[in-house]
Amino acid sequence: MPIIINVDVMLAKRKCRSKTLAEAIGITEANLSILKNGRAKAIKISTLEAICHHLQCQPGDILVYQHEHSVISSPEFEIETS
Amino acid sequence: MHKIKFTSQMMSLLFRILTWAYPLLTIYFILFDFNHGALLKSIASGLFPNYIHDSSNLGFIIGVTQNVPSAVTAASHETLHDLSSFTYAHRLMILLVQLIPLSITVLICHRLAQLFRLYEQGSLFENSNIKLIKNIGLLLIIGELLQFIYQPLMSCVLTFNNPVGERYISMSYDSSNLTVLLTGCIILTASWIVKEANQLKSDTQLTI
Repeated sequence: MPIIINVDVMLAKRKCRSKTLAEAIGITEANLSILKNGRAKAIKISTLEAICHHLQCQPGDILVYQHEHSVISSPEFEIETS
Repeated sequence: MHKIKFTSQMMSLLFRILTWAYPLLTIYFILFDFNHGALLKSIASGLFPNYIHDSSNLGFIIGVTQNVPSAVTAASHETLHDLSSFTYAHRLMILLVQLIPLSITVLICHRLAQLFRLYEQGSLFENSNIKLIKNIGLLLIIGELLQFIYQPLMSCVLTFNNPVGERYISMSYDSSNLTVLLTGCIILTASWIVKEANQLKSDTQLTI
């Protein structure tokens, strides 16, 4: 998937545990794990906002677009407003 | 959920038994039923309904025709001779032709057994279920299309030992065939809809 989610990198930088972040932003650990593993299909703006607020970072620190060599296509990743 | 699992267990067992019993019984009745030739009469009465008077129907008729070809109406009533006196070789040929619809039926029973086993294990709307339902729809359609090959072959095999002038190749397609075709198409459509719905559900579940 072209969009890389660097939540685990930011967690390591801020020395924060996954469980703590999940509780702080109001999602389950399973859902946070889905986010970290790159299996998420969409992320709500409110979730992204909560992650950035807790980890004191920018959305660009969490979401990185990595260009694929074979095909230039728009990613299927959607950002939903809640 | 418990009721679904119990019912699915019973259905799975039923179709697993049918997957083996149906072909074995068919083989037995075609090859070894010397006394009455009941299955042969069943098949023959399905293809030539006006000329088999003693059709002890065991429910094995595949493709009951409504339209007897005009050539047959002009023929004598001795078109199909004593079926129980067919030789082994002849019976083997009949069995080989009967394998055409038989294999489709066995495949459908096998798919149904797999489907109900999945239901028994609690997976109701997974991709594997959808694939099995789609396969069943396809098999129903293929089975009906194979009638174009099966019916002429079977009528030929049943009558090729007859004297010259009494050998026939017949085929007909009626509303029951169309009904099965339509059912197959509906099952295919339903499986596609369930697949799309599953995709939507997956997208929703993976929205964090």
